[in-house]
Amino acid sequence: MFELIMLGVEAIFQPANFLAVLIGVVSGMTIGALPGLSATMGAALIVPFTFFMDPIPAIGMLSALYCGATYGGSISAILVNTPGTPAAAVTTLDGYELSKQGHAGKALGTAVIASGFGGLFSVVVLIFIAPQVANVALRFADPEYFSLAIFGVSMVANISSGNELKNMIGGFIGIFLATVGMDALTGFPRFTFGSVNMTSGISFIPVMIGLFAAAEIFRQAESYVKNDTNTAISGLLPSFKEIWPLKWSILRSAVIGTFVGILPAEGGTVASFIGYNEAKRWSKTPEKFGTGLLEGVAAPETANNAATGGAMVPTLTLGIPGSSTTAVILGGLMIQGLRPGPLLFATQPKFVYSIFVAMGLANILFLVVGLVGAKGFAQVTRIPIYILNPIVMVLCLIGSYSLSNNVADVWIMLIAGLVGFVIKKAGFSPAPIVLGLVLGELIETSFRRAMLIFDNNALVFFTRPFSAIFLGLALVSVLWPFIHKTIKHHREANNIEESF
Amino acid sequence: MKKNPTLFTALIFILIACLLFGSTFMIQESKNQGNRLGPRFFPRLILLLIVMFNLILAYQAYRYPEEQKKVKKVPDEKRKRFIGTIVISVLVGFSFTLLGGFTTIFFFVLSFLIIWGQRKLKVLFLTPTLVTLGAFLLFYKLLSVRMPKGIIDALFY
Repeated sequence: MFELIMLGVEAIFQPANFLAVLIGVVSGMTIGALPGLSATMGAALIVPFTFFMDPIPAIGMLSALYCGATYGGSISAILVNTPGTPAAAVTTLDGYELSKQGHAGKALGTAVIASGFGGLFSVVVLIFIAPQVANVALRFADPEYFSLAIFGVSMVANISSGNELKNMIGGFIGIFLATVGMDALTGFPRFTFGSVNMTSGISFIPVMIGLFAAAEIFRQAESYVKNDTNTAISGLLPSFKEIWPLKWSILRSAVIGTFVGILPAEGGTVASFIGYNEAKRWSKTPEKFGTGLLEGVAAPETANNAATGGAMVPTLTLGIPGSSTTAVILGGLMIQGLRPGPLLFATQPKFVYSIFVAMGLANILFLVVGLVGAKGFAQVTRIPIYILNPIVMVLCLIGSYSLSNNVADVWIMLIAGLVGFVIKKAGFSPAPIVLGLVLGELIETSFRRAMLIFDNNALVFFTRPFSAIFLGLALVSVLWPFIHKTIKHHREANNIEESF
Repeated sequence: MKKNPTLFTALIFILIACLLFGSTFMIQESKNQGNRLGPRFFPRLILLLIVMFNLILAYQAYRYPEEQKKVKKVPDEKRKRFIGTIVISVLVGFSFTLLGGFTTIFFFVLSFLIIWGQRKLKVLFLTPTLVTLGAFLLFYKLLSVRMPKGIIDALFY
């Protein structure tokens, strides 16, 4: 393993690759710091740039952007009480309070140190766990891949926020969209309605760009209200004496974040909420949370950045995205002609370890850049929305077009943007659609191939141990929100009875 | 004003899924495929699931309408901005090949600024020019993206 890590180090410290990681970190921090631009949206906008690169700098840049943007979200959360990314929503609770008390510098310093630690911790876990998971996954055949992908999609019930049923519907819509185009097994066209452009299917890059970026611009056109922003950084960076007492909270959040990140379809947002809640639960002074505690900044920031490394475990080893951003990174991998999964570890070890090293380097780089250039990034939040949004839309246009120099992709992006806007209004999240779209082909082909090999015997999915386990987990994850609600209602009813 | 967007969306999804289910009969299947699952099977299964889950959603939204959020009326100014943004975005799709990629970008950014209430001449002139120039240098010169030249772009490069 050490030799492979050294190979990765050697590859990433090539000037061009190092530059790609640095650009990824800086653009990630900038995108993260801008309210309304999420890590997923940033990755979707950057993917078109990676067509023109080799796999290592391309995926290294996307991974670095993921790490940088996850941290960057805390900048606007602390300074202007508006989380730059959903994963930084909890950081506003104590971060903005600290800012109001004149300790914005300390809050930003704590956020960057905690994020850096969380990210590095998860990369170390990634380096040790991912090859083991890949080794086990080498034994998987079609039934296991089908069940695993079903488990991945089933997790969308809990993805982001909102109604579980709507998330499930979104997941199925994504899977359906993946069936458009030439059937992978027979070559017969499906739902192409005579259009040549549709025979190659609906490319997920324009869909992602539309759902995450264009839809957000349409939403802001209807609901954006200008906020007065105070981006002055006051207060010094936290001292060692202030950071050291947070060590257990940071370590706990790093473990939580990594574990939550590993779960398919769970990401930094869930991790940061759990990290914050656990810090509060273990604290001797839980009542002080929300009043401007450094621990209230450190816990969620460690957890959300720890989720980045965790989310890469299922993405790289199984081809199942660990979060919506890794779904985009998965798309980037496929564009490079690489199929994520256990075989990637066997056939492209240098590439895999280069990505591990790139993520580790990204966490160190944003730690340095964040500590040195906090003031500069704070100014990013002052870019007027009327300048920023047309630039984002231009990136959406050219990004979709450059995928295959085809205007049909621009139309797909625009339609996806409009659909994304409408469904968001109705309370649907775009992330399950993207997850379904990415996993759709794997689900269908592995299902149909398994049925072909095992003489249409559907019992094969339940008699093979790993397949049965994944299907069991899928069932639990689908039912869990309803079980959780029932338990909650039952408890509340009991409490009311007891109070009488 | 109280609406039920969830019910409306669920019904729309059911309608679209039914139409698409109907169109699955047009998918070709091999005559000698035996008992293998053909290309129609999987989309039909997914469409049935979409209909089933949307029926549950529609029932929930109808049965418990109080859980639906009240839809606030969008102020006129924002509604105009929203409609304008949608219109220019759709126009972009048409003018991309007709006028040329970079010309479209210039006019798109200019229209966007005007729709979003920008009236300063300096901003109206500089922003579209710089964004178009930046896009040209980055995508055309550096990344070699072959943008559609259309009628106007062809005059310049």
